[in-house]
Amino acid sequence: MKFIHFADAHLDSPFRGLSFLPTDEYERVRASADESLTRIVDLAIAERVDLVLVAGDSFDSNKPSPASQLFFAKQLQRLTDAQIQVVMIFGNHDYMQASDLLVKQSPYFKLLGDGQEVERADFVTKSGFKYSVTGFSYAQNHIEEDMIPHFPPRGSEYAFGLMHAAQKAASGNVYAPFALNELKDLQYDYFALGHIHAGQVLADDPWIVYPGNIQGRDIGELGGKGCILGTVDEASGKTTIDFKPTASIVWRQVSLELAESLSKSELEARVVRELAQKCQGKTYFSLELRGTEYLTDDQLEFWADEHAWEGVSQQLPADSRLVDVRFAVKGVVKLSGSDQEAFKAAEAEVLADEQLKAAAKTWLKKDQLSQELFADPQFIAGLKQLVKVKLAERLAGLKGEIDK
Amino acid sequence: MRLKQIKMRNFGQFSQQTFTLPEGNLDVFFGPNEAGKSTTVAFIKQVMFGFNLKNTASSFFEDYEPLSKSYPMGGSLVFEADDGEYELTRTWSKGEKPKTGKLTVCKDGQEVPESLFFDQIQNIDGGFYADSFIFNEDLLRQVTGLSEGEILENIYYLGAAQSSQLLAIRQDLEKEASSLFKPTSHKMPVNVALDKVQADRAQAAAAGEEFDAYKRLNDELLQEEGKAAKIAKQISELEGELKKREKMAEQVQNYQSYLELKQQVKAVDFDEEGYQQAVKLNAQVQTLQATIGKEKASLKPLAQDLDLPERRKQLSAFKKAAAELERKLTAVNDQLDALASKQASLLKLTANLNKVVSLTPDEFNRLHADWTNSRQKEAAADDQLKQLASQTDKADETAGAAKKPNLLVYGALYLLISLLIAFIAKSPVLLAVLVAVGLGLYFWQAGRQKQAQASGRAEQAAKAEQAQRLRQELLDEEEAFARRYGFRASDVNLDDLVSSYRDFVINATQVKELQDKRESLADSLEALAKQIQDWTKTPVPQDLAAISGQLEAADEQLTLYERQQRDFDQASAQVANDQKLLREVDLRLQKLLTKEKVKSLDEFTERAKEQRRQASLQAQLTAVKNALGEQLARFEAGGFDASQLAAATAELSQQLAEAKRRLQLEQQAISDLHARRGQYADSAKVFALKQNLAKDEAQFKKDSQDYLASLLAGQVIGRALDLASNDRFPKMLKTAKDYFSLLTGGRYLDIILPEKKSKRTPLKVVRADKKKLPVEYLSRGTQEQLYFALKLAFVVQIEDKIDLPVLIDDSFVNFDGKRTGYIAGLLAKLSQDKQILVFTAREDLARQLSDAPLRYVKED
Repeated sequence: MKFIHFADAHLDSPFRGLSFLPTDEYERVRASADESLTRIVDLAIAERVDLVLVAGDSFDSNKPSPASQLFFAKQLQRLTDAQIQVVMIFGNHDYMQASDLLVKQSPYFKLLGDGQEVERADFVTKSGFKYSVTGFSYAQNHIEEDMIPHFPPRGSEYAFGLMHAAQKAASGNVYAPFALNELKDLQYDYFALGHIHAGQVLADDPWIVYPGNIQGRDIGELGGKGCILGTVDEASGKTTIDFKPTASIVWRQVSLELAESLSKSELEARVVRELAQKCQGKTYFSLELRGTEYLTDDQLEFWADEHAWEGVSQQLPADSRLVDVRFAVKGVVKLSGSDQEAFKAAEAEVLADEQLKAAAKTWLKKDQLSQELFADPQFIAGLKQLVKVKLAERLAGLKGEIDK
Repeated sequence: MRLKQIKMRNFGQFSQQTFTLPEGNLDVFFGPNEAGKSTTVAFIKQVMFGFNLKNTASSFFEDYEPLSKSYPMGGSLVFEADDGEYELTRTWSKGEKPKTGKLTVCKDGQEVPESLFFDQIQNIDGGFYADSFIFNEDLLRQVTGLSEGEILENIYYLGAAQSSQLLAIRQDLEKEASSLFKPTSHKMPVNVALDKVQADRAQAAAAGEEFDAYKRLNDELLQEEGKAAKIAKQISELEGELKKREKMAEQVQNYQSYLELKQQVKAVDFDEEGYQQAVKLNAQVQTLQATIGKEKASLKPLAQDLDLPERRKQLSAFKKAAAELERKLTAVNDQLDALASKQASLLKLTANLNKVVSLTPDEFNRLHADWTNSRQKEAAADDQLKQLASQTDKADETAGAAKKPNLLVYGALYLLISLLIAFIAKSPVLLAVLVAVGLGLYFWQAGRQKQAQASGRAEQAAKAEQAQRLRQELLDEEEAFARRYGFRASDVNLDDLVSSYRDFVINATQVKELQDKRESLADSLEALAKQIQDWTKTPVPQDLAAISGQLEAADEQLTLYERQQRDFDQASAQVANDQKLLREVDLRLQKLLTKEKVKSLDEFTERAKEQRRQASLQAQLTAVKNALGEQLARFEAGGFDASQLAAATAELSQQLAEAKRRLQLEQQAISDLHARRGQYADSAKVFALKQNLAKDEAQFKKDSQDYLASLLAGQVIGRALDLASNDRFPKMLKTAKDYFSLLTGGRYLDIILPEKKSKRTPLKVVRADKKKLPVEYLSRGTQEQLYFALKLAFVVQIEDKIDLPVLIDDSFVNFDGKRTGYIAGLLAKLSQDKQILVFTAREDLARQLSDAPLRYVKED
């Protein structure tokens, strides 16, 4: 038997930090998630898979646009028309009701666990291979409860688990927190997970897999995106899996270490060379310029300007683009001995969580978004980086402070 | 460092005044107003940091040029430090530069570089000292303007090497931060972005309405489609009912028809078979009459009145005669042609025949004789000549022998041909005749040859010598012959010519006979032509072909007449026959009509029509009856109300029309809903709104990060300065709070220093009831207490770095008894570690602070 497992299509989901793109390029970005989904369906049909598992967050919200719903319904119908069994759940973003879906009724379509009830469905492939899928859908955006105890013990058939959830590790996890061991103990043959956008295999015996999302939407979602194609040896029950990239655009982060001051054109040529080397199909690059101490104010201003990136993009292959530039210091600004130590200590103190929170207090109070950003480690990391850049930039102004 | 001695020389009102301070840290200078307390404070400051003369005058330390105008002005201060005793002496005389005066520093009596002293007090300037260590009424007023910044600057000065630049950077970063975000603003980038985000969010939430709207429309659509289906069902039912009604109305109609038909139906006495037969007979009569009429019309009288068989016989006779004549004529002509051909052949084949044919037989016989004669003479001559020439016999014999076989060959050939002919003719008689003839011919010829040979030999031998003469005679003879007959006798084989001549003559005789016969036949022809002309009454040429043509024409004419006669006879017979048949058929018709009791066929036909009508009525009746079915019995039993039926039907029709109208409305509504739903199906609005939200969120994120980074970078610098200055500022602030609380007897708990001074962000204090009050709202007394708390805290805080005495100059004017007690207690406490010089005109205070205050003594 063959199956495809994908999750987190997030149709309708916006793309962050790309509003400066030219309209036609922007349209391509906009269509990329749809394209990826279409490719997954193409793959399912071409591979004649028996089953497609959709592990939640197919839509970006519980009230997706009719256009997205219709598109999704159309793609699913292509599968059901090809007599491919589709089993789908809702995630924390698309916590809808089965009745909200515009997917055409078909014996080949099953929405599992509507109303947040763990449900098991049994199927037989055309070749007579028996399998079951057990899982649940979100009925609200948060599930604080560990749902694993609700999963029934496995039967003699090949058992799939289907769940949109995150591991318990992080505090304040409200996405059906589970412990890996619990999941392993269930001994389902293949646990198809969704929610985490970075694909990862949590375990290979039994399989516990996050396929990642189907299209990277911003610099936080790096690397190849697509789906898992699984093959089950019907005689032995052994499963092999293969990641199939289907995304039109791949996001990559490239760090460029500066060791000396470069002229404007030298630096640009170096950036182009560096990025061109790392193009794999259409790639969107986030560039980190490490060693901003070596940049002049003009260069800093230039590289912070989105329009300057366009010039680099023009020189990249495969329609790739530079869409993000970040700066980082190398720490070459030197203050006099005791001051240096004081700065180091001050930085550590000020940038410690509590201090940070205290400093951001009024800002944090302004909006939920502030709090969300503040809870995002990437945001904090970026912030700390920026603090350093700013300090370095200012302190470099002090006469003779750069240790060149 | 403890100030041990103050020596003033020509300074302000003082010419010479020395204060030696007793042991202990709290020194009280008591004196009435104008006693010189402020001058002393100014002196202490100015000796250390320079005189304030005219152009270097500060705002409140006035020019202390000596009243006595005695120079040099100045004096000295003696400090007791850990490493020894320092004496600072500053003097200035008019015209000296710098105007701040000349400073001499001695350590333990030895002059040392002034830096040795000033390094110990961190090289602060006079401003710093005045601001930090001197308390007087003028400075007190500054309390409302105190800001963290200023205090910090003073504090950090003591720590980081580039504190002022760092403070400037920090200030810049703070400025940058506050240009990005302010808690209550709507103009700063972060605020603007957030406002946008919030607006977008509302809109994006509204975009969720698109989902709802689509769902609602979908539901509505389903509902409307359900309704439409219901109405359609209703319509179908109504139509069914209406059909039933229509059928009922039809049945009523049928019943009415049934009744009418029933009335019309009656029996008719009619025999269809008889009628059909009558019609058939009548038709036969009609046909026969018509036929007879036609036949009669076509029966034309014959154009001639001849005895046709007789004529036929006559014609045959003529034809026979003509043919006989023709046959004979043809035979004669053929024979004539054959003879003519024979004659021509003879003429052609026989040389010189043409020259002899015109000769009569006698003439020819003479010719024959002439020729024979000639020949004989010639032969004789030849013989003579031969003899004369002595020619051998052998040659002659050879010639004779040569001739013999020829004759035998001819005979054998003749015999063979004769046998062949006889065999073909199968006639032995003919054979015999032929053999006889053959033998005859042979012997005749053989004889002749022998004769000729013998005579020849004789003549030759006899007349050899007379040869020449003979030759001449022979030539003459020949000439004579040729002149007579046109040819030379030697040129001819007379036997051939004889034979041919005879044949020719015999043939000519036959020709004559045949020509005569032809004449006779021509006469017969003329006679026949005459006969035919008489018979046909048309002129007939005496030409066999014409006669034959005439006879053929006559034959045709006769044949036509014969056919016409035959036709006429047949037609006449047919008419007679038909007339007989007509009479029979008419009789049968009349009999039938009588049997059916009708006068005429027309009457019979009328009766038939009636019968048909009745049959039709009956059929209609049956059909109506069938259509009515069981209803007939019900109608007959109970009748019906037609008008009620019609009304019910009309109502149903109306209901149907109404239902159809409603269905149309529903369908319109459905199509509207489809269109409206369709708009959403293609709408990119949700995405656009979300994208917009994401865009603004990204902006907010970016600006916020920028803001926070600036804020934090500033804090890092501040914190770094704190750390570099050993955390003096926070410690100082804490101390100040403690002091303030102490000085106000616990009525105030906290001090909130603004980052920088401004009207909008004044220094505030927190009362015991947690209420925050800007400093300007505090009573003068409380303000003074705050001022004391802050400054004292500061001084205490920097004590390890700058250990100089605190100078409190008559500043307690506003302190009431209770407050004075507090300050006195505090000063007493502080003075345990720090030297404090109090200059006061208040005796109670002086006594409270010191058992033995230093008193100003009026100079002489």
